[in-house]
Amino acid sequence: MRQHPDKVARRALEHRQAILREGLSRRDLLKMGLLSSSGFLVLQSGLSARAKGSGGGVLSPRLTPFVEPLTIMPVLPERTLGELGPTPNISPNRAVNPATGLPFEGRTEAHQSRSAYPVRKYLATRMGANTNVRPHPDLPPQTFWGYNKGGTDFATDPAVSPGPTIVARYGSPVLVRRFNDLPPPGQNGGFGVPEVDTHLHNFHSATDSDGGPCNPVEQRFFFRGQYYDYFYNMQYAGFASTHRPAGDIREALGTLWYHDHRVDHTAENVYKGLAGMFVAFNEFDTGDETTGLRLPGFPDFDIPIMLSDKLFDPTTGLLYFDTFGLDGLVGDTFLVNGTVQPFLEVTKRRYRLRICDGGPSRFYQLFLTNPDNLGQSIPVWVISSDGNLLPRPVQATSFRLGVAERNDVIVDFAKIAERFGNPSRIWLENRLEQVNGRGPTGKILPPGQGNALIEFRLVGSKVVDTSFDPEPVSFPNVPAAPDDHVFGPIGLPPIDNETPRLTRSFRFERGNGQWQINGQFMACTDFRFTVQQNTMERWILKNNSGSWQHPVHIHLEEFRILRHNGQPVLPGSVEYGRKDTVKLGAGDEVELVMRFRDYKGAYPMHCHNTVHEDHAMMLLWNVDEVGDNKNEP
Amino acid sequence: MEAVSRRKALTMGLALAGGGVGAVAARDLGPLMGSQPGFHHPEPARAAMQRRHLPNVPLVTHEGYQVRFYDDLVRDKRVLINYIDTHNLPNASVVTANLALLQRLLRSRVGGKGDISMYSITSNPRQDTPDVLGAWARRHQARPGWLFLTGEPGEVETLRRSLGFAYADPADDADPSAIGAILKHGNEAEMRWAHCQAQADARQVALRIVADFGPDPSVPRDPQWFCSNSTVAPLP
Repeated sequence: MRQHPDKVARRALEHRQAILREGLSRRDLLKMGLLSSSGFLVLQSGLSARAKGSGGGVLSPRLTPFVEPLTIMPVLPERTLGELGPTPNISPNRAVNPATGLPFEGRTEAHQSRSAYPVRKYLATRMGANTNVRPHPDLPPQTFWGYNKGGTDFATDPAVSPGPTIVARYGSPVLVRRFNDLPPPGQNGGFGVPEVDTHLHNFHSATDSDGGPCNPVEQRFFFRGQYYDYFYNMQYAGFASTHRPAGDIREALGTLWYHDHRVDHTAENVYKGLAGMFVAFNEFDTGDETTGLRLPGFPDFDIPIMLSDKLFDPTTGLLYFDTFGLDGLVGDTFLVNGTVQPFLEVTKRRYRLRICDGGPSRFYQLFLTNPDNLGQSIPVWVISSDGNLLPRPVQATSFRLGVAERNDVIVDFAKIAERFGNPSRIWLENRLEQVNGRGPTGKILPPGQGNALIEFRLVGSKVVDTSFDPEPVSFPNVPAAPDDHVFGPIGLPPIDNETPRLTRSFRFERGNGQWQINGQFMACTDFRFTVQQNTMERWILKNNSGSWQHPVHIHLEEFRILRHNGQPVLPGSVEYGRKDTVKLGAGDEVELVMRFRDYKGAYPMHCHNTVHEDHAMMLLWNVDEVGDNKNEP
Repeated sequence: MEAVSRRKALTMGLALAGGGVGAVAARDLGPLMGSQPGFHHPEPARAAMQRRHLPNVPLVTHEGYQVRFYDDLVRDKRVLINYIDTHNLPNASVVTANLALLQRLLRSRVGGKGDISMYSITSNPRQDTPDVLGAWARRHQARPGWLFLTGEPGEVETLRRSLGFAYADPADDADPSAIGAILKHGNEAEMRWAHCQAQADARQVALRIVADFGPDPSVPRDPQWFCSNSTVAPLP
């Protein structure tokens, strides 16, 4: 009897449903050893990345890894002002477009700092459906949503996912006109809503361009047929307060990503493709490895990498998302820059990989694995936390990412060739077990038995490499100290020169199956509390939700984690940096400080497991001239 | 050829391990050669969604009418769906009172010629009979357009799981309060589904629902409607 394993697995799931119909309880099944705690009949995952999914019983078809090369997303090209269409003014273009019956522009707020920082670079992009996406050659052509390079015709300039990488430079203000050309309602293939709002995670943005989920006065999202002008002044935090007029260079952001933030529908829209990378350079982190900090040169050796785990319907081979699920969605098929388990040919030199966890619900513990010698422990050098350069690089054999977190790492393929027997291939492998949307189990799988994400193929002999070598200055080779600034002047602004104005506590909890923060529900039209502009506050985030884990994201500025579960975060830790998302593990308590400079208005704090986020694990807060003193808002 | 024999071995292993009630011990052995199963598009996305999530199970309303869930209650409609267990007090009362407020906030959009239907399905069909639900509806002053539904326990359970009022965690999944925590709203034809918290402020819930369902089709449309939170009237 020959039977494809997938068919066996599918039939097993049907059996499971039959068993449940017959009234055998979960407890009976667990006792019999037939059901895993995630609700699946017992399966073992293996090295072809078919982890246990949590998408309502969907098991993706088996796909051969490392068939296609890694896609390097194109850079979003600069446009002339004339190419944009109607002139982008500081005030939104609320004239009604007779073709749609809606205002031309979805924006309702004026750009806050634009008069002081005139636009120097115009960009445009159109969101739309691409019906001819092949994440893997064995999957049928199918529809993803994405962003194009700003052309008016998708036939010649199709929407791609991840979207084109936006490259910006500090000091050169950028305006991005995003057009919503998504398909009409009812043509979403099962999920995705054609209203959008694009968050630039985590640029220091005014509320008008932050792309937040909602605003107490207006809906933030915009509709098909509309555009929205997002303005990024490309100044460091502090530009209108502590460090006029350009801000504090120590607050330089490097690796960001943009993604849809449509309230209640973020998970499905991002999953369907509405995300891309954003790279910010400056006079030190230049993108040119012969200047400044000499980090590996963009774009050949400096590569943005977006990880996303998906499910594909085993019958149709089409991307599947469960809009009815509540727990979170863990995929069994790993896309890297839009391709299933790609390979990348690399030369024997250093690369800067900007790795982003694109969600929706998975945490990663990433290792370099030599599949031909699984016993090797291969180091990388972590140079950023959430894309922001660390005070001192950290040498590590693995690093962990929660949804939306980014780490820039230096991988030195020359040293790998020298020290690890000249391997022909190296995998970027996730070895963190996660079987459902609640969070990882904590178990680290043996090398080679996790999820191989990229196969690096080492070609040629060692090449001349004049880029910065982090090894001699990395922790723990060199002790770390609070005043480190290996990437000076970019580094850590002092936090002990200012007393937090007050301490606020937030309990992320679950009451009667509903997400709450401090016992309250999300409200799109109210902010919970008001922060005084240009002050610092101390926030305590506590995960009271049992075994659930939450990557919590705060908009506006980067924060510093002081303590994690009571333990001080010390120099040499990857958390000893500027961050915008923090992993709240089960029962975790995190103490952080954050400044709220330059802007006024409403920003969110939310869980970035986007399924939890869509189920309202979120609150809004406000920045104004006078703050309140609510300690437990 | 080697790969094929590996696959054969794998299949046999599966067949052996699968001797019990559908147990599977599948182990991926990495890249396998050979052809992929052929994919086909046997059904449009909307039909697939109906098959997965919107079963056409028979139900009984609190007024004693026999209905089919998909055909009669959901197809081509904008719906609000929650689960209650009228014996789970005070939770069920709190949620129902909140939905009664919500119904008033949505005004003429629920009932009569309105475009939105409300369904509260029991998670305790053995005790929540049509008569019990009828009394419950009267006590909470439910207006037309809001149905309370029960049915054969197996069918109701199938429906609950299909609709995703279910949790991986067995404790949550057995807790009527957790099952009743969510208010789902959906536009079936648009394949647009989302959730609110059933105990959240009714006005907040109404705003989120209106944001998904659009403005009242019976009222002339103001092009700026969506950027105003005044689309939901205050309670009279």
